[in-house]
Amino acid sequence: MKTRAASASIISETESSANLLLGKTGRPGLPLGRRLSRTGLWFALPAILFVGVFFVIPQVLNLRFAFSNWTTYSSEIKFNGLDNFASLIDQGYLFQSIGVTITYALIAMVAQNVISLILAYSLKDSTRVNGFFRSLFFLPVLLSPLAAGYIWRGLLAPDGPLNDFISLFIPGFDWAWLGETSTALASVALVDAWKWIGLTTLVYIAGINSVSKELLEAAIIDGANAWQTFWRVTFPMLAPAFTFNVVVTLVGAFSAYDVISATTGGGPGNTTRSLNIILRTQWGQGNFGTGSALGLTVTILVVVVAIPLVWYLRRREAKI
Amino acid sequence: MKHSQKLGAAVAMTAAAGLVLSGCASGGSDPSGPVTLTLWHNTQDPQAVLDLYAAYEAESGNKLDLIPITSDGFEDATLTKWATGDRPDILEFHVTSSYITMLNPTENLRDLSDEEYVANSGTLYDIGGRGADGKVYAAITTFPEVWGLYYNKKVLADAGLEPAVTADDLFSQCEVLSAAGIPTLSESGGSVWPPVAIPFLTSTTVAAPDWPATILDQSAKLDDPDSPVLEGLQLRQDLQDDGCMNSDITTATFEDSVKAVYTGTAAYEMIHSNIASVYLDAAGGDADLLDETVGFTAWGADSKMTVINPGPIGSYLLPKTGDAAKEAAALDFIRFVTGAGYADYIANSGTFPVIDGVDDPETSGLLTEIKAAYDEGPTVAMNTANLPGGLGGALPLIQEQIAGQKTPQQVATDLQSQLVTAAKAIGLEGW
Repeated sequence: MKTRAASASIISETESSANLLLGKTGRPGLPLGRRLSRTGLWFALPAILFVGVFFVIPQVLNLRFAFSNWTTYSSEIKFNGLDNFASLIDQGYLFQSIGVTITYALIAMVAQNVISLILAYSLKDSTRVNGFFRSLFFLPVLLSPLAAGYIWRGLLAPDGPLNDFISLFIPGFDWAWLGETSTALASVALVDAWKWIGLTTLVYIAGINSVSKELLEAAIIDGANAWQTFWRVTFPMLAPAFTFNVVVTLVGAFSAYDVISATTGGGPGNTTRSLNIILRTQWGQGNFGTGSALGLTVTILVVVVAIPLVWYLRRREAKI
Repeated sequence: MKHSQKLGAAVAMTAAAGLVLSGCASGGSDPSGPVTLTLWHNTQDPQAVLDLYAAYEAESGNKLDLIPITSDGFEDATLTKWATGDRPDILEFHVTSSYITMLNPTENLRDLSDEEYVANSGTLYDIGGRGADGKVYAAITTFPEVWGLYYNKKVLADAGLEPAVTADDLFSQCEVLSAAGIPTLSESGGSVWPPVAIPFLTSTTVAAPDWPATILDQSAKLDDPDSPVLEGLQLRQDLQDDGCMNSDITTATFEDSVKAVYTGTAAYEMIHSNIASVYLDAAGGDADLLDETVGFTAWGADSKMTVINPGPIGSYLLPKTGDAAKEAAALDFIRFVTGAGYADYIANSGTFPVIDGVDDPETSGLLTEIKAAYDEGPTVAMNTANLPGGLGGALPLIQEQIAGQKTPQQVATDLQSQLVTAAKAIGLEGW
């Protein structure tokens, strides 16, 4: 599975590479050929090779399997058109898992960005105490997603510490956060948000600290209060960081597997059965063709959502 | 331009060096020296199995590189690794006909039919270890899994109950136990596989012997109104609806259920005999304490029957790897674990031998009860029948049933659909 950090790195590298490619004369309005500078191309080459060899080529090579009858029972692989997708629809897997994946991604993205924005604003100054808390909130990023999932599986168990704590205020409180269909998906998405919140917080801190002091002082002199200063000045200036974080968290959550696998395994029932969870199940049953079709669905979902989203957020940045 | 030429030459040289090195690497192992064999093994392997591996290393001078496959989702994980083209030298895995078929044995596995242990294992290879082509591809060293009910002796004694051996027993005892605030069955929806126990034991014990054949000739379906599989799914649902199961059914793992039965917070757990070692762990390794606390009984939906299944623990397959030295060493491993090392393994494990020439070990009362159930005359579990797909897709569907998202009828219909897909994939005639 591609990790969130890897996604961030790739996007970051790609952005840097794109900037280098523009060179001194680079302007977005010019044709690509005129925007490329030779030096920029050389600098971009490692990133292009990395993305090409490890992401683009495997995706292209895998494409044909989504339209094949590949199973564990035979080494012969034949083209079977859209049969794999039809089978997934017949079994009720495709649209259900797309719905779960999108809901999961939206919850994780919103929670992660709202909380990390609050954290970033609280920790923006470089003091020792803030440094400690920045490190503390970053620690989950370094944890294996599976380990994070298992930890939270214990914390959220009906007889786990969270319910014990709530029982101090509501005696006898006993709720299976991961076992009830009403709370399982949100709970797992919030665990995912918790896991990656340190990363997005750092990006927001960098964005907040890059806002011109003069601009903030001018707003205050003009009579803006703290909220108005944040909402009218700081937040709009965070547009590049906002674009980066929203895209990375959303796209990362589309690829969700590890945290879900460790916490609920896709249950209860099909409540947290994301595309990658059902993909794994299909592979486990030896249905490699339908598994590949699900992999392609994840890719399409990412492309269909990410490209318009990036386009829209970039336009928003330009307007600001 | 010069820079470009130099770069091109460097790339070409690097590629050439890579090809030469990869060519060297694929030449195979040195046939004269010790080799390292990869063994994909279940993390549930008890110490006796691990000791057997160590004994082989000491005996042969070869090294076993144990690649752990976690027991939760063991089947999925193994098949996923297998699908990538990765092959171990030795594979510890399920050896039912349906699972062996999933490994495409004629192309990928070595035929072990002529090995000595096959002839010395009585009728064992009638219940597993063979592919659909009739060849033996497996070596089974461990006593088959015997399915039934573990029960807490004190809970039943306090309620004045005898161990349940039929579905009617469970329902009638449920009324008594529920009144005492004790769940009758501890169900482990948090683990992937245990919830299949009730449907599969029920279907196995109510199905006519020729019923799987009627599925294969398409005169019957899994979702027919009189389908044994549907009856099993419905029985599981009725037990849940009647409040005979634990409240944390969706999150409890099989280890939680072991703990619940051992501590008396549940009366029964329906699972197989290889979990006995987990019960022993729950008793702190004290076999006498375990015997005082927990018992085991065979169970059938209508009448008491002992359902067995060759289990993955201590069952081995030899993939074709193309490395002659390693393939020879892997066969040597099979001959050791079924031959020279077998008696010590049986003595250490306390399990009963399946290969002739080794005496029964002195073992715990719980395992003796399991053996007694087996000796009453075993019935082979339904999923061992060569049904296409081996009903392997039942696990997620039963999870949905537990959560109230699917009815037993819908689960049976989906299972039939999966069976049809698998039959077509295998290329069965008429499907």
